[in-house]
This record gives sequence, structure tokens and C-alpha cells, in this order.
Amino acid sequence: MKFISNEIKNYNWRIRKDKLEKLARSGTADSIAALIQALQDVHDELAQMAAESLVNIGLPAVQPLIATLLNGE
Amino acid sequence: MSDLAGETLAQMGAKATKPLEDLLTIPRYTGRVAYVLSQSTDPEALSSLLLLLKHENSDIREMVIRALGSSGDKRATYPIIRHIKQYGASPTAILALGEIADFQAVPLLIEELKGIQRWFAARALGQIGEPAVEALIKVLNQSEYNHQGVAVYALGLIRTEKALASLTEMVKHPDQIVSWRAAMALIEIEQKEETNEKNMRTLTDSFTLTLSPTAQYFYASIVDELLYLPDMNQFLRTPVPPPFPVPCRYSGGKANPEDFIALDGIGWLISDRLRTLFTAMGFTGWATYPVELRGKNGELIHGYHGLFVSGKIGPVDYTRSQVQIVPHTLIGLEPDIILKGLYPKDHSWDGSDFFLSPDSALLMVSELVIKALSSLKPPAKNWIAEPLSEVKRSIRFEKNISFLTKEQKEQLHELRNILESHSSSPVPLETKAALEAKTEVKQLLDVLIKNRCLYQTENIQ
Repeated sequence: MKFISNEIKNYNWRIRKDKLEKLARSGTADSIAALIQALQDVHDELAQMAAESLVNIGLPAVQPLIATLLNGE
Repeated sequence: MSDLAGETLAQMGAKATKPLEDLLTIPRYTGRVAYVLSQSTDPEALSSLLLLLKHENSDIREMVIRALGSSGDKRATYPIIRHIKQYGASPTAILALGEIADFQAVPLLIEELKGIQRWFAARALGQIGEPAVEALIKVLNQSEYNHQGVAVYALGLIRTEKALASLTEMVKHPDQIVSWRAAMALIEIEQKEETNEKNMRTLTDSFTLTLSPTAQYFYASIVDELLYLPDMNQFLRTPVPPPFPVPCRYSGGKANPEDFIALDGIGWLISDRLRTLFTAMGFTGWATYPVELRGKNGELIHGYHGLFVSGKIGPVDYTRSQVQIVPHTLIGLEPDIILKGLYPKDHSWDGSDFFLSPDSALLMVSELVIKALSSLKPPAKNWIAEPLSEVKRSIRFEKNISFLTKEQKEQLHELRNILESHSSSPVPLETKAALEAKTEVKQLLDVLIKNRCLYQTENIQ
């Protein structure tokens, strides 16, 4: 999971955006971790896109999000 | 990231409510979880917060009240009022009522103007606005509700016609401090309204003038039991001298004051010598107010004045600043990412020699002021001038970067990635690179010095 997050982070914003769109469609456990990582993207629109994707994924994303919230990163 | 994780959970509504509620009573999580529930799109989420107002742990109750205030939900008004009646008024509870801004809290907040949290109550009444005006006007002439002009201060925060009419009346009040607060509020409102862009100029060479950040020099604080200033920023920018000298006292540093004295970390006191210099040079955008300064042992120190700054410049345009990576100013810490250059908006400077921007506390001055200060003999100490093009603002960990351009954000993203990938390394990046490249000794020492691993540049062969 960490690998996917770091991989995305290293691209420029256009590529990050494309990759995030693909991840949002997949809705797997791996995609949740990468989407949560993308919440800290410097570009508001990418961070917002990740947030909306997580809202759409729904319940499976709740616990990982709570863990992120409580880790206070 | 946790902020947006919280917002996302709040957007999820009912799906996230139960798992969050389960964590509410764990004190180290209460604050964050309560805030998320207060923002939730699930209307039922508020109920669990209201129940916790009866919790035995006062820290948990305070965190919940703070979250209820953030919710802005009027269903929380009465429960918070009941809580205040049962446990007493805390600043958190009063400010929460202000954030919710429900007129039903007005009677309680008016009563709190008599108590020790009066300045918080005034702020809350100011946030409630128009619905609080009548009640405030009624108590303006009752001294127990208007101690040090607290009710006048509240009215000054509400800029409706009726509030302004009452403030104008209060300028004639026999209590000098009440009258002064009314005048200050009116002038502040007038200043905000009168900005005429046609007369504004584009800034040329200018500097920030800061006082020494170390505790080396004499610094002072206002004795707020005698004169409470709820908004120091407003006070410094509104040149209406108080009716009596502002009581100030030594709060640290050397016992003997220099020409400049830092006041509460935000204001400035200047010596007679500086006042004479600024007057003789015909500098604009400044005025003074009388102070009664006491030294380390309570002795009266003569020859100092408070400095008002009435000159203005518009908001800072950070899109013109450069994103850069620089060694940290403290030895041994990782490099920092900064925005270099402080460029206020064009055509927004009123041409004063001393001026302030609405979104920066940095005192800006013209080049003439710096030249005059530099020419003083013996030299004036305890001041640092920096050209606006050199001013730095750290953004490495800044969360709200909406003021940056897309290109600046991308640069920041890349630099954060670089620093993150090396953050476990005990050796600074530049030093590591130099060591690996088997750099010549002289060059290597330069790098070490630049990274603040050594202090002196002299005597290196």
C-alpha cells in the first residue's frame, strides 16, 4: 500500500490526477490507502478529488480515515 | 492530512457517526473526534455531543463545548447555557455561544459583562451582532456592565447604524476610558471605510523593521489590569491616545532599555531620541501615545512613548514570492522551505514612511527611515532592517497554502518530497552530497559552515 502512495507522490500533478481518477474507480483496499495519502496533496483540487472518492467508497474507508485522524498526521 | 481526513469523515455522515462516537470518551481523542462529529452531515451526530455535557471529566466537557461552538448549530445554545449555569462561565463556553450566534444567548452574555470573563462575553456579543445591540445600549450607562468600556467595545464590533449612533453618543461619556473606547471604535470603522484606491501608490524600495528576536534587550508588557486591550492589533493601528498613560512594565531582558523596546511581542516603544528624529525628518504614518514605563525593580523610566502606526498598504501578494529551500536557522535542524519576498499588492500603499499591511504584523518602513536610523550616533540598538525582497516565510509544514499559485504548489510538493525522503538522514542533504562527491576540503568546509555545522569562516586555509 505504501508503495502505491509513494509512487503517486513522485509524479507531477497532471499524472497524479490521472492516477487518482483510476484509483477512485477501483475502490480497493490499496486504493483507499493511496487516496488517504493524496489528502495531503498540495493541490486543493487533487486533495478534494481524493476526499470525494473516499466519501463515495463509503464504509470500507471509515476505519482507515479514523486511524489517520487519530494519528494526527 | 488529518484535517481533511476529518472533513471526509464528516462528509460521510451517518456511516461514520457510530465508530466516531465510540471514541468520544477517550480523552486523548475527544477533541478531534468531537470536532468531526460537530461538522457531520448526519443531523443525529450532535446528540452524542450534547449528552457529553454531563460527563464527569471537565476536560472532555470543554472539548465538546468547543466542538459545539464550531458546529454553529443553534440546538446547542440552551445546553451550553445550562452548562454555564451549572459549572460557571469558561472562556470556551462563552466563545462557543458567540460562534453559534444565537440571539437567545444575549441575556446570559450581558450578565457575563459583569464577571471576570467580560471581555470574552463582549466578543461573543459582537459575533451575535444586531440582535445584541438593544441589550447592549441598555447597559451602556450602568458602570457594572461597562467596566473599562467593555460594553462599548462590544458595540464597536457590531457595525450597524444603531450601534454607530450609540458609539457617537458615548464619545461624550464622562468616564474617559468609555469615551476613548467609543472614539477608537468609530475611527477604526472610519479608517476601514475610507480607503480611496485612486490615491494609492505602488511600493518602491522598502524594508521591514523588526526588533531583536532574542531576550537580550529590555522588553515590556502592558499592565492589563489597569488598561485591558482586547485587540492589540487594532489599538496599534488606530491612533487615538488613551486618556491616561498606558501602564507598561519590564518583562525581561537587560535592565537598561535601548531606543526601541518590544511591547508584548507585537507593539513598540520608542525613546525620546527616536521621536525627535522621526519628527525632525517629517516622517509620516506614525504617532505616539503616552506610557508609564516601569523598570525591573518597579522604578519609573522616563523618556519613552508608545508607537502607533497609521500608514497603510494593501494585502500581501504571495504569488510574487519565490519558493526556496534554505538551511534551517537553528543548528542541527533540517532545511526549511520558504517563500522569499514580501510584495504587497500594487497601488495599495498610502505613501507613508511607517505602514502596515492588514494581513501581516510586520512593521514596514521607507528607505529614508532606515537611513535616518543608521545615521544615529551613538547608534540605536535593538532593530533589524530587511528589504522586503529578502523577507522569508516558512511554508514547509504550512497546511493552508491556497494563496500559492499552481506552480508554487508544485515546487513545494517536490521540495517536501525531497526533504521527506532524506528526513531520516542525520547529515544535512547538502553536506551529504558534498561528502559523497569527495569535495575539496575548502569547499567541504564551506558547505559545513553553510549548514551551520561550524561557526567561523575565517582562518580556513
